[in-house]
Amino acid sequence: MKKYLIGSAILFTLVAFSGMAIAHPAGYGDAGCGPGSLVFGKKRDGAQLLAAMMDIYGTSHSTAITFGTSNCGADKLSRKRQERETFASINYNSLVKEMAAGKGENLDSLASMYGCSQDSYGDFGSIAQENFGTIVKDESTSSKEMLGSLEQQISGHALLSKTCTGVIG
Amino acid sequence: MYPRDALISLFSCPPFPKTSTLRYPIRIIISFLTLVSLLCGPLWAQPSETNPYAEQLVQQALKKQLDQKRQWLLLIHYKETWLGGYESEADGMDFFNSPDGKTDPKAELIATIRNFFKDPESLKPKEEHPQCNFAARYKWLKRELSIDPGQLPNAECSRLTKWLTQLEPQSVTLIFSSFYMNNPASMFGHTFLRIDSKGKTNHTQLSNYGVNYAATTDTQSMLLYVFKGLFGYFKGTFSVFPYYLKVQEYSNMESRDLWEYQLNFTPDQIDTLMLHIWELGATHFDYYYFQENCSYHMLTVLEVANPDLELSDDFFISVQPVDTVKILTEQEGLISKITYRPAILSRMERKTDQMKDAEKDILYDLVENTDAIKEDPYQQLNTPQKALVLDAYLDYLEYKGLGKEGFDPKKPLRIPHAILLERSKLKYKRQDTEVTQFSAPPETAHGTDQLRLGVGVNDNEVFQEIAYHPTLHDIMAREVGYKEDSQFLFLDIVARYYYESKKYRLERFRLLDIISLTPYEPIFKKPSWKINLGVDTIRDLDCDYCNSFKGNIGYGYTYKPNHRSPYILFVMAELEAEASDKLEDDHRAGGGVSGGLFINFGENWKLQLSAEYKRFPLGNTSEYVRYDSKLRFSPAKDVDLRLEYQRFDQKDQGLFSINLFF
Repeated sequence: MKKYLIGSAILFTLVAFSGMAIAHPAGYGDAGCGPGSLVFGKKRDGAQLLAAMMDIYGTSHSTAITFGTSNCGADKLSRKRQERETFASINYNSLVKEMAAGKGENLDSLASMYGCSQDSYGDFGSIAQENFGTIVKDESTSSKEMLGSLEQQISGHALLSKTCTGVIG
Repeated sequence: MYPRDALISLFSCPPFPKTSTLRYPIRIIISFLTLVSLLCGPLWAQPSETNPYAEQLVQQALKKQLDQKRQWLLLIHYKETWLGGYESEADGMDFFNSPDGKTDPKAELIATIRNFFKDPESLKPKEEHPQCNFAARYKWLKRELSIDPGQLPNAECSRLTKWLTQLEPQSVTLIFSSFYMNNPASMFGHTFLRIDSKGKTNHTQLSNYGVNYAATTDTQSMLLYVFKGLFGYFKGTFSVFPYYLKVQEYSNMESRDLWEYQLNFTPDQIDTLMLHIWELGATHFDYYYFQENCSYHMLTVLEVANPDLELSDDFFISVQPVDTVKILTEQEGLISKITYRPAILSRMERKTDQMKDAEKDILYDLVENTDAIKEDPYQQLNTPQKALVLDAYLDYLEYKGLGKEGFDPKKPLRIPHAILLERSKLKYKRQDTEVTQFSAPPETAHGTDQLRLGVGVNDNEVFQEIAYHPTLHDIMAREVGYKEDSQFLFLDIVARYYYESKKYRLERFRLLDIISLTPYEPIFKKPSWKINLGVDTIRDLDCDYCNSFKGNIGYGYTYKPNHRSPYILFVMAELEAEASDKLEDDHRAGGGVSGGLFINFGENWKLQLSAEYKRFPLGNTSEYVRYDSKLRFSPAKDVDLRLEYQRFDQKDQGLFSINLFF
């Protein structure tokens, strides 16, 4: 009987150990709603991870929290700005990558949030690429600072300053 | 603490109305009082009962038997019970107008109509009028009963109106997230909806909004998590959030391909859908992993939008995202467009596919060391080549950066600045608009239930076999729509009848059986692994097909020359423990090695050749060698035929089986 117990203990250890091994690799999120998510137990919550990666500290932090409530009475312009800031902070790494490459879906979406017309998305990507070093100075540049510099570039651009109507304000 | 809730309800003002502040005990008291009132006559009268128009509408509704209409039953999420009555799947009492609303469609109908007449002056601060809280019901009843809004109190649904104006829904898309690397459990997928706003183009899909249904989990304990998930102890709620949040989560952080199914709904149906989502924000459902899960509730919501669709009734044992997508695609004319959104690593692979070997080597060098960018092999490339290598490298860096734990507020950028700067200085935009699909859409995948009927012979006798599992995909099955060379089986049971000895035997019961053979490559260096746990037959001892409890894990490597290669090779080190009263000392424990080959001949044929050696130094000391060869042919998506031969120690057995998927 005792040995039977030892056998069971080994079996249990095997299983327990393997559970840890499986749960370890990075990037495990919501495995979906099937029993798959049962097997892997509580995973790192996607929103939590996103919160961890976006620059919600300092000023943007309060933006993220108050985005839900404080803008109810806010005017359209400041609502648009908040929308852009949240977008930029959550998609920051995708955005800078696309800026360096001169184009991409996130960049197009950001351009549309500035009110730029679709035929100017190309120019939008070009100025982001050409002035990348000015727009994103180094690794400490926050998404909000990035937006500020980007807006300056747009305002200084002959065509974009006219087509991207949402920049001013 | 991270502002999680704020993130999830990022959209606008809090998207959902907070209705009554009544607490559950009070509801019980009210229910009790209602009961008393039914028995002893009314204790209190609702103010609206005195409104003659309300009573006229109630009579009209009862005459038309609206409480039995499909749309009413759908709107309140009623399902027929075993006893022939009804019960709503909604579990938050704020969802009902009548205290008996959960089980009584008629009482709910009457109370709903009367509540629409509630005096707006009597609302508490921040309380919304029932006309606003139950907007989809109001819309439907207004139509069915030709209600004259002029005779109703004028409720200003300013928050609802604002919500709708900001969303400006134009079309609705169902999103399915595919599996991700090295995790067969993710083959289950996940589904949610996207509301496509007016004026959004293919370029600006990201800024649309999504509607998700998910469980709010409140435990870190694995056991509790499983228990609560299986038996409905988690609360499931609907939430609205920007689509880019989910794209970041699925496409970039987890690298799962997304499949987007645009639904062919009329503007009126979309309007009903939106109003219903608004209603659902005020309630919760008990979340059951197998039945009332995310995919199930997406279907119920779509049924409300178009009651002619019958989507949520046909499920056997469990509802799986793959199956719900299938049901939708089977409805004639429902899907107007299917779009594939490649995950970050699929996008990277699309780039590496276009590289020459020398370029790939440079990419691998960069993965090892960012400074390789300053060195010769990279510097000698021309601009388009540099851009291709750097774009692939940036995909890799973004994926790695997002996976990093912790966040340094001083360094919000998670991709090395030097690489970004180098890429921007090329002043070159790559024109690659083609998309390679690295996964197949779920509707092309085989069914998730599998039934096997087989006949076989061993050294002594002929036997018949019957096997079943409710989920999901075994490694020999047709792989379209699933992760290649992977397996995820849950509750897999195999029984046999032996003709000579006239015995029924449990051949195998696997609580869980997972295999993940991920080709080892220079970038991610992912290992392969497997785990299984359950009851097995001891084959190397003469114990009359006796059973044992068995657990096994393996860890190793898989080789595949490139992702289009038809074959893979694998090798694994394994640990195994077995317990049975038929074993000396009642157990044995040890380990061994296994290895072999899988070859795909197109999608319809697959061959496995493998061998393993196990030695048990603990308990019942023993050792054995086992060889397996299996051949599968799929004449159709949901049928396959298999021929298997196994040599276990000195014992042989052959099996021919037909496998049906549904």
